Amino acid sequence: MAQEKKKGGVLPPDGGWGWMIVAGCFVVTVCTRAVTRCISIFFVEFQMHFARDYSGTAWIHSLVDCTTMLCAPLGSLIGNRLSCRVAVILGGFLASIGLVLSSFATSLEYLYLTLGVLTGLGFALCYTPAIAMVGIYFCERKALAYGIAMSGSGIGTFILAPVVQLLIEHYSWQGALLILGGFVSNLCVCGALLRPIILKEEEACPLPVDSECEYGVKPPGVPMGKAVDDKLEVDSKQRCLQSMQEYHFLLMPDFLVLAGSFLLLASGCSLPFVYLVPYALDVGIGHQHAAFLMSILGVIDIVGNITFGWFTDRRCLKKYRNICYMFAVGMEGLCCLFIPLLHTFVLLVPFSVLYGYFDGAYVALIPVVTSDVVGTAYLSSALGVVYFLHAVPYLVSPPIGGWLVDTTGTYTATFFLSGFALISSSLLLFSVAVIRRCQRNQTNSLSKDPKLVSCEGKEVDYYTSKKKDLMIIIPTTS
Amino acid sequence: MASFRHLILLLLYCDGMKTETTPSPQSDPVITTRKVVSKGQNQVTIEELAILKPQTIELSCYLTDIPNNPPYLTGYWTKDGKGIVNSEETVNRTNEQYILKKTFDILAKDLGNYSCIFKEIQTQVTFVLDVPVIKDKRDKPIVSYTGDSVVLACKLKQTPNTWNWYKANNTEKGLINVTANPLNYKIFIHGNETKLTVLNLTEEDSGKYICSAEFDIKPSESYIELKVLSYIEPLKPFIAIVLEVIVLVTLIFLWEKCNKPQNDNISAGENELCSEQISKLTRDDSNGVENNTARQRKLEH
Repeated sequence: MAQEKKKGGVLPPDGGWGWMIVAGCFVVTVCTRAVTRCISIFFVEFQMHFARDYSGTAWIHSLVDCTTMLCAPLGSLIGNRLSCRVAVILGGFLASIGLVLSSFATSLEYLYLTLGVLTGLGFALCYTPAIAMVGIYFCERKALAYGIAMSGSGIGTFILAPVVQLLIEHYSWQGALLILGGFVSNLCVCGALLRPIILKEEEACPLPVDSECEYGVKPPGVPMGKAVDDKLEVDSKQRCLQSMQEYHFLLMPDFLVLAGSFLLLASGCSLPFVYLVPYALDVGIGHQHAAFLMSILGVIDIVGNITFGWFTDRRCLKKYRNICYMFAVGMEGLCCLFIPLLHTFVLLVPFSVLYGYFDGAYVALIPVVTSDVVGTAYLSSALGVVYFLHAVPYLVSPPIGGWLVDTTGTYTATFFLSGFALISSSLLLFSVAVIRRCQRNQTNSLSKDPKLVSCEGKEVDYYTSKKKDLMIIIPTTS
Repeated sequence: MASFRHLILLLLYCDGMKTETTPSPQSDPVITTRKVVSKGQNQVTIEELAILKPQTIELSCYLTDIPNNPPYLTGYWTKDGKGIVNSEETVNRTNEQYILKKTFDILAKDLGNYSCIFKEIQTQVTFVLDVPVIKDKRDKPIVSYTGDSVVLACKLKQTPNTWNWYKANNTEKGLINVTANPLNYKIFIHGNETKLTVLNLTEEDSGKYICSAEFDIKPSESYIELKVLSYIEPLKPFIAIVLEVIVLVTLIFLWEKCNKPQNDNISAGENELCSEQISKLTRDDSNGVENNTARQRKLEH
């Protein structure tokens, strides 16, 4: 066959239905991240109704966040086995049932179960498959697509917070939870949008040499046209092999370094969000101004998402995407280190702007950097692992920050901790990149064909016949 | 007269506008003293005092830092904006201070705003005498559902003699009697806070509830509004949204099914027309959006 000669590959559409996928992922982000943040608005109502104090209700938020992150690998597993569509629809169903059930809550423990575990599980099943889908549909514009999709959490919080407040005033928390459950069932619509992609291979046009993103097609031992029937012939041995293959990226040194840096990142990034307002109040800034700082943070977050995604899609910056990511994280850490010097509202506003921008920037780049390391085929499973690694630091670092505040009496130690965690995350990636570069320079001098150098080290996404969301049809022409 | 009075003046003198409460000794009649210090001219100072029982109170205005240090000033008292007859006094300067005092007998009808006003320097000190005001009032009504139960609470800093709850029907108040309706109401009183639990809510239970803190002098009241809804109310938007979701999902799947047979035909290599349609779709979408991606997808064979 003619394909065997050239480097066979197909390009993802980078548009068309892909934008619907981005819209779907946007709504998924709104329904999961923004709703999670808006749950804290219910706490006052819960405290009054169940006569408990703040620490009892704060567990709900931690449970939802924790379950969403911890079960992320489960979401990507279901997405791989069944299909992303089924995973998201199932997740939406679970989440809305969880919210509806919690509107009938009779005690706080009941809420822990329905709101914390059930809804969190539903969100986990939706989040990772939706993000992975965007990666499948986009390549040249991946960062921009992710930027738009991830901006859902900021825009969603902005819009949902007053809406939820209004719902609570009109219908009390039971009615508000019921209606929120209905709203979250829109996740099923997003799931329906996640159409499995069907790419047809081109025969005539050769691939551009510098194209980094293509789905390589292995010389087919099985005719691809019958890929749909293949799943009926799956052996249990093949299935076992497949799972080992699915997670083999865990042993890649690149991924291990990335995982370590994500652990450090997650330890540092949530602290400023939690402690900015208490610090501002402590320094003498009024309530209104402190709340305004948080709003600025939220809005600039959205701007950072979209603009940074667009920036890193430019041809000139695309090769340096990793460096842009490290830059964003490093700048965030640097901003945190300066907080103890800022004592007035006028000085804290630029901090909010900078921190918000870089926070939005790195959030949009996480899936991009991950897919650069593991390739699109394993993006779903890799994202599951990445968000799983976020879970424990998210849970653990705010209480540690609080303990630091209590023992030292100031917020300096907390912000220093956050800053150093972020900077060390960035430095870890940077040092490994430098080492790689030196290694590559060494192999460069030994290699004969300079053209191959640019493509080495990049994972070519091999199509496996079991990938449900990506079908490549090779026409059986004569 | 002095033998009847025990004036204990404050020993602590803080600058600014602070008052100190003076503990009076046990002998009757007890006179409490309140003092406010005002610095400079063109000042308006407001001080809130909580009055729990009928008493005799002496209000003092201390003025300092008056420019030009005139030898005397004229001051008078007003109640609720209206001048008190024969209250005008000439105050001599003593040690850079000007002191104006007046004693008032306060009963329920005497509660109000008492001000000492110095005309020449436009300085005014207002003492607001009132029963303790119940703060943190919700300005939005509390919403609950039929068959459910709701807890209404009132809290004060000072402890009243007792608490009473009333339900307001238009203009009249009806006292809530727990012994008469033990199934519907529960009242919990603990010092400076009280809670009213209304059980087995029905739509008639909607309305204004008044918690009244009974003091010797006058009760202090605050109201809470309760709204009771039936379960249908939030169900309507919920069902609307769920219907919308079902409709959208069905539409998306239908649209995909319509396009699917065309896709299958492409792989078989038969229906050229449909493939042209699909390629036109992707090309149209892509054309408007991308001009710098590597290639267009061609769906022909």
